[in-house]
Amino acid sequence: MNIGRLLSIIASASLALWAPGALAQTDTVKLGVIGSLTGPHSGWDVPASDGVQMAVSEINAAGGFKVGDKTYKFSVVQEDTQSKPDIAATAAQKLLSDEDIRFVMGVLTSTPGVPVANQMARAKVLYVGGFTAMDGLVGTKGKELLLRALDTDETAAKGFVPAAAKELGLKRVGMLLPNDDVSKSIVKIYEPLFKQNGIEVGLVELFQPGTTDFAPVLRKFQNQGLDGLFIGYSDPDAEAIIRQSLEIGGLPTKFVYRGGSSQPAAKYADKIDGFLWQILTRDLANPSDDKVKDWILRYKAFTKKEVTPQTYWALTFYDTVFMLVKAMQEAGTVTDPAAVAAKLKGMAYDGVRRMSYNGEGRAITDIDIGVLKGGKVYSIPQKIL
Amino acid sequence: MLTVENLKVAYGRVEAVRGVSFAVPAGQIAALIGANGAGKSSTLNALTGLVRCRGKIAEGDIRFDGLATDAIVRHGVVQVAQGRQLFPLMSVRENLELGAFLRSAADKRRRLDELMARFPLLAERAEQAAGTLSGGEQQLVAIARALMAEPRILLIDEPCLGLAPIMIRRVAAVLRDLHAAGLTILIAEQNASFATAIAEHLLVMENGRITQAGPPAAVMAHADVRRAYLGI
Amino acid sequence: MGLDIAQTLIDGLMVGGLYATVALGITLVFGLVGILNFAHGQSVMLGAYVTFFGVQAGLGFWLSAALAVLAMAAFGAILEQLVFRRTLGDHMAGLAVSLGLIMVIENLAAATFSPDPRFVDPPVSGSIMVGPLQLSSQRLLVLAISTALIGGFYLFLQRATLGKAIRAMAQNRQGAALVGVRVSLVSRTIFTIGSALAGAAGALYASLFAVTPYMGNTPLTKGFILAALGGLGSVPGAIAAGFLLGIAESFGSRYLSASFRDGYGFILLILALLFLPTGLFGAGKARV
Ligand SMILES: Nc1ncnc2c1ncn2[C@@H]1O[C@H](COP(=O)(O)OP(=O)(O)OP(=O)(O)O)[C@@H](O)[C@H]1O
Ligand SMILES: [Mg+2]
Repeated sequence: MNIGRLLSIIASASLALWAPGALAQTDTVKLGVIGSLTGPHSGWDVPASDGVQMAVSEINAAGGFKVGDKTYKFSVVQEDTQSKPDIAATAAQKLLSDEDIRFVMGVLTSTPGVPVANQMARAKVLYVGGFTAMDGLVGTKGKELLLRALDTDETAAKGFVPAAAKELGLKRVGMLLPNDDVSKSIVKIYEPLFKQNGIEVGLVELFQPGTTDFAPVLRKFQNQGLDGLFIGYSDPDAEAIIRQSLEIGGLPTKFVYRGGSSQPAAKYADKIDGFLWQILTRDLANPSDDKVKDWILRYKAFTKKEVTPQTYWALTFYDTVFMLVKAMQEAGTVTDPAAVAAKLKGMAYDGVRRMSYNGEGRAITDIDIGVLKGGKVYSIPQKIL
Repeated sequence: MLTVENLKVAYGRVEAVRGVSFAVPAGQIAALIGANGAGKSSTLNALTGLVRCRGKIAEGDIRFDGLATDAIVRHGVVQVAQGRQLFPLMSVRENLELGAFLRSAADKRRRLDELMARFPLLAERAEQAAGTLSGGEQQLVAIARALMAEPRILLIDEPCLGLAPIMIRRVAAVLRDLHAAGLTILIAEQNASFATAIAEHLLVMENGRITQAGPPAAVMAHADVRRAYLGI
Repeated sequence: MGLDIAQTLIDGLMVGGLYATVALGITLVFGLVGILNFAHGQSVMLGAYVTFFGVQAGLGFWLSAALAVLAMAAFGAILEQLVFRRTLGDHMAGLAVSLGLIMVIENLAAATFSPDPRFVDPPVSGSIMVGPLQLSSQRLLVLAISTALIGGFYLFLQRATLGKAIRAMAQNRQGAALVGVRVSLVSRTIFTIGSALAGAAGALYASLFAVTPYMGNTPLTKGFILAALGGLGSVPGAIAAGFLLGIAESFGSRYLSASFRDGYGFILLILALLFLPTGLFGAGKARV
């Protein structure tokens, strides 16, 4: 290598170093992304964080966004909650120690989610989460900057129960759920809705969480004139119930699953007469909507991953990133999370999901209902918004 | 001939046996006598491999110190331990059968028949749980269980402990019979009068050492021993 | 109503057989070797995984179950050799070690197999009518197998020479040594058999319930309740207690509340400890 060549390399390198400063027209907005990238909850949070990264990359690739007369791009700062509440608290703390982070998204499971949400509320940053326990936090005093990107049970049920009535032709169902607070609120929401839709609720039973042998409790559902079972709310419980119902016999073979996957019924598809589940974002396995088909192509290109039954969680926060931009533009600020939150609340957005946030910060969105019937799997979009 | 040379047993810091040497010629009845804690049981347990020891233990040319109990039993040295160590919830028959644990099924059956013929009590109580027998009956079962293995050398620890005089006489009769049949027997005993009555050779143990040895008459003539064991 | 009671009773017997198989292993090891082996539940879990992977590899259920039994037998022998041999006679050390083992095995399993629940295709499916009773075929099969295992094992203890040596050792360790039983060898045998039984229980569990790294805990706690209920160390007691618990849970969940399912075992335990402090059969006859 000759001296001239070397000099030219040094020159161009120093030019490159100078360039961003010299040409800086765009500023960055730091977006915190938090979630369980490892551990048992990573099945939810890894796709969810992929979705945020994907939205950010699309926004930045299009040149960023203008707020006032400045153009901004997002830069993502990510922390792993490792599926554990204590680690989640420190991960949140770590994000919050960067004072430039005023907007945070992530966490779909309640155990690590609650400590994260509490830290975020205390620090007065705008936090959009997805986990169920957030329903109890959103809209309460001191938590005005918390928003939940998924429908509450109440909202989802409004689309789910009519679909169950229509698709499975149910007349009389039994409800079987674990004995905990979530289930109790599910029963409170669904029982009247079933009645409104012309379905009797014959029997409600709560089993001990962690139950593996459902035979004795399932016996209670025999000879009750039931044509369907409403079950929840985790995949392993649901699969065990379906499997053991078939094993014992004399039980309904139509299942309404208050859960987000067809997994529990997959192996028993030819032995049951119907299975309904909730897709809280959009159906990616059997998409009918062109917006969804297009998104899947972009998702695959961006993440280099295939679509799995868990992938739909990537849509949890995807549209909300675009809504956040819109809210910043309407509020005219990238530094005042309260002003931005105020604009997000009440905003409706027609993205890959059709969604809105209500005045409290709860999402109200259209969802897809998954149906497994006669050996076929398909989904029906439910308009709720 | 059973020979023991410079046998030592220690439990951590406690030296229970401190270099004991003696010999029991084939066919002889010998007795180790000594007060509580003298080290008699420790000696017998060392001979049957139940406790670790140093020194030399042999029968003729064959050394068996350091061997495991089952190998020693196979060699023909069997102990009736202090406290009898029966299997209390099992029947007398099962206890006896286990005595021949290392023998063939045929040997076991033959031996069981022989012993039941010899001790009618065993046949009578064959199905009774051993734990429900009286102390004397249990001692008999314990001896019979040891005999199931057809030993050449029998070690018995405190055969008379807690027995009534009539039962003591019975045990003595059994031991004499066995002696007559040619068995080599080593008894550990506190009861000196029993030992002198039955043994051909006495070994007096004190604090882990053998202090005197010889025929019973000679040993008992010794004033110290009479004072210590006969209270005269 | 009568039909319902009969069905509930049989449901109870079917899980009871599983409980009894696990409790048998625990009581055996405790009664004979004096070790409360908390890692026993992990043998159940590992046995279930061996079955799952065997079935997945196309070996079929029976071969996989046999493999699970063999693998767990080896696992028990290794554990005894490497760990429990050194804690003999020291209950606290044995306890600490086995508690530590739970952590190690469970976390290793979670890391290797992932915590996702797995379901094994059972050898038979659906239900059959036995007279007027509608019963799960697989559960009946499990009941038959566990009864055969328990019965066979009981006969082995009563009749076989090695079985007698095991009982002898439980009643008097020194006495057993005196007749030529090699106590250390028998201890290892017991560990091996106990763990093999756990492997069998694991295969049976897997044929009915989800396989997860944490599945060992419930059988373990229940196994300990049963071992205590039966009078620690008593084989007939543990077996009877296993079936009793299965029946109690079944009736409790059927006619009382299913949300209290695991509580019925503890109620039984507390009652047993209060009124039968020496176990179901009393101390005398109990034991092995
Ligand atoms: N397992 C043991 N651990 C510690 N010390 C022991 C043990 N066994 C015996 N000893 C001690 O060794 C000594 C000798 O005991 P050993 O039982 O051999 O005496 P002994 O002559 O048989 O007495 P006794 O007539 O009371 O049976 C005693 O001091 C005893 O305390
Ligand atoms: Mg003694």
